[in-house]
Amino acid sequence: MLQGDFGTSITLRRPVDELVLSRLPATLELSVMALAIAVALGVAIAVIGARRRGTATEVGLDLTSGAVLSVPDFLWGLVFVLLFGVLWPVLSISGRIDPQIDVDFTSNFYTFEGIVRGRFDVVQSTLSHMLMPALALALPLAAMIAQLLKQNLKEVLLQDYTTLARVRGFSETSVILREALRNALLPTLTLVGVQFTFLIGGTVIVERIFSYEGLGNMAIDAVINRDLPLIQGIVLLFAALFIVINLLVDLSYTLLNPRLRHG
Amino acid sequence: MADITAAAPRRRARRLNLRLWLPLLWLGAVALAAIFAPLVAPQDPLMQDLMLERLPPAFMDGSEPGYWLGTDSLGRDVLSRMIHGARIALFVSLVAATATCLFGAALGLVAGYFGGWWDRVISRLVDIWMAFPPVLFAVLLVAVIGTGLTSVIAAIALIDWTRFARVIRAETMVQARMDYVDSARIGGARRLTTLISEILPNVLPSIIALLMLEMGIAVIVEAILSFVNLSISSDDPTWGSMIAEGRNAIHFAWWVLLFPLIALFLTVLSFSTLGEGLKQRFDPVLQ
Amino acid sequence: MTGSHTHPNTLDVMQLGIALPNGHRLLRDVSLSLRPGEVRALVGESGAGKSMIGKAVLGILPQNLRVTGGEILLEGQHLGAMTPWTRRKTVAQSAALIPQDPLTALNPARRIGPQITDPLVRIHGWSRAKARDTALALLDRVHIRDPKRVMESYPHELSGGMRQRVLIAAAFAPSPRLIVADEPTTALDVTVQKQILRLIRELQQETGTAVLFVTHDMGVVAKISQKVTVLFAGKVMEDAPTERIFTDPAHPYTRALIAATPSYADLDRPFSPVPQTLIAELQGAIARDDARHQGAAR
Repeated sequence: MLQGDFGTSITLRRPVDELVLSRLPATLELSVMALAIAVALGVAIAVIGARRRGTATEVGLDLTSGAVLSVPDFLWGLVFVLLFGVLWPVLSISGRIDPQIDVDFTSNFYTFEGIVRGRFDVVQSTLSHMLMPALALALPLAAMIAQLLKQNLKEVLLQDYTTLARVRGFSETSVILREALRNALLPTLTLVGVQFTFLIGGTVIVERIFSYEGLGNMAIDAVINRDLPLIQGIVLLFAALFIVINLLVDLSYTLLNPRLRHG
Repeated sequence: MADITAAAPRRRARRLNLRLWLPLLWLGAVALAAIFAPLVAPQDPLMQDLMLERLPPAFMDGSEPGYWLGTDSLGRDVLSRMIHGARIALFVSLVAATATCLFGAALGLVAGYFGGWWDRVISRLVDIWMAFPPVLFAVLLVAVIGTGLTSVIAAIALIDWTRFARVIRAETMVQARMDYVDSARIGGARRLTTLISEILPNVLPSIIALLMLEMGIAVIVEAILSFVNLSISSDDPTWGSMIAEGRNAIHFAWWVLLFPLIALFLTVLSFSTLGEGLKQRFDPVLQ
Repeated sequence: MTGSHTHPNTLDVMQLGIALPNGHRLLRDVSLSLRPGEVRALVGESGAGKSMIGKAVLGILPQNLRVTGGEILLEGQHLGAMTPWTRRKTVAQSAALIPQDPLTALNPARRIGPQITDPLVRIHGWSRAKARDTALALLDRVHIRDPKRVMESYPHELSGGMRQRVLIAAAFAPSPRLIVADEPTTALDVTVQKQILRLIRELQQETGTAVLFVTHDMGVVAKISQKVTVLFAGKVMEDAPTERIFTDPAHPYTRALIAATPSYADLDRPFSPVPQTLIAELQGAIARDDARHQGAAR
């Protein structure tokens, strides 16, 4: 263990570290895409809500994000399977990539390496496979971000410096984007940091729904088969991942807050 | 002027009522179906009939009378399995949420009222616990303690007690500073008596609201664990195992996924709406 | 619009009325005007509605307030007749604000430099270089040492007095014809107050900008203004040149206000707050007025 030997998987009869590391890229790409969608969606909704504060639009957005929030990613995944797998089958609901595509990459970061190598058929296929599981993972977090950020934006928009910006001729949208957003983002960032580890935890079940070949799917198989060395390896990897994420969040917090940067 | 001020609370009360009654109506229906499952269910939920496999629901061509919501890949009646599945869903949600509540609320009360060393240990434990993503935690716990309904319930209680402990601790701390607590103590009441007879009744509304939310969470966790085949054996009808089956047969029999999913969706939404509604009603800050 | 270049006044507020949604009136038919280069003090106790006039002119009234009547003319242009977009542009072109609290009026997440130059470039269409030179020159003019370093600083690195200097420089930067100074010294300590006051007066005289100076301090009024509007409960009590306000105040409330100012009360006379009887009497008169007003409206 201490020498980095994680043993051999009982069911798959291969070294655990090799198995686990081969699956990690799939889960990382999925989580990062989900995070990107959650942040983009959440920030957009918060900005629109703050821009239209006090109107029916804001109330509508609040109600929607409240409803979205009370439904977990597991259910969203299944809803998407029905919507885009059966009712309007535009996206693939199983796997990570079209099996017809020949991938001879050096890493398992299909999307990332595909972009670097200019293999856009690979990128297109992985993205269309990732979109639904990523959206399912992203929706609850997006709603959370939208609620918190809008709240903070509305508080910042009462500050004198935003009033001053309005007097200087900036439009309300530009006041929100240029003056308010950066100050309102700090508490949101803390939330995103904590919730990102939860989002990665959610990949376990969402990968299962979409038969996505990631760590989570492997974890469930390992649990069902009581493959203890494999379970151990996956748990350690997840733990390491969470520690790294927490470090990154702390780092970006310092970058965004000038007061901390200058000590 | 007078008209406006009089109309506002009336409108608010009506909206509150709707948010209260719709979830209660659905949950009541589910509860009745669960209690009287053998009487209500049109078919035997376990009976397989290969002649009747993948029958569509009654409103579609090729359906059979008596199989209202169609059948699954083994010819089992979807509606009957859903009705029997409601038994397991409600049983788990009741038992698991109550266990979670007793465990978490007790720790929260102790931490909030006794403070000091108790508080430090419990709060630190809550912090550590909440750093783990719950779903991953649940899967791992089941891996350790084994599959089955008891371990599902144990897993829920072991993971989610922090939700109660955190909130109840904070509320207890607020209550403990109130004058009535002092006067009870001055009157000679013992600390434990004061905690149970003076503080507990005042934090009870929050406990009930949290209990509602927790029941919704328990339903979901049970569904997730039976979806990945880590709950009770897959022959037994649970909403989660039906959903797993429906997911596999998605291209041949979508109804096997759709109907249990709707049931699960409405149940979860009902519990959380009730919980949120109660929370807002009792929250002194929001009033 | 034809009169815009011949119109003599920088600002005309005519019969302005503002009310809460429940009908409670905060400003009652307030009228005042500013000639180019003139400083008018707007005095009154807190709650008199003096800040609200400046906010109404700049278009930054709280959203729950509504304008019940009257007109605001900025350099002869009717602000009330404009679309929100034109109004914002017009106000930004000719007016600026020196805010009350320098601690909250600078964005904590942005450097000082862009906070001054951004509007110059993005609203007034200046080149970056011209905006930067102007900002540096003005920071130097408001006695900030090492303007280059301050431009690179964040607000939390500056003292309250320095921040107010920065805000004064920012207000004068686009060469506005009107500056609304909303109690710009109240949040500062006494020694800094005097410097800031002197600075505003000097810059005002150098640039010939008209200033609407909102304050509750009769001592400040004497130092800075040529004209005074005295406000009580949203109603103008007296409008007169500054010397006359102090030598020969016409309204009893003005007299009471002067008497309540420590520096202007006689040394052998004890400091006397505005008497409650006077306040009650004035309030009664305004209430009767409001009642008559409502009767006329029906």
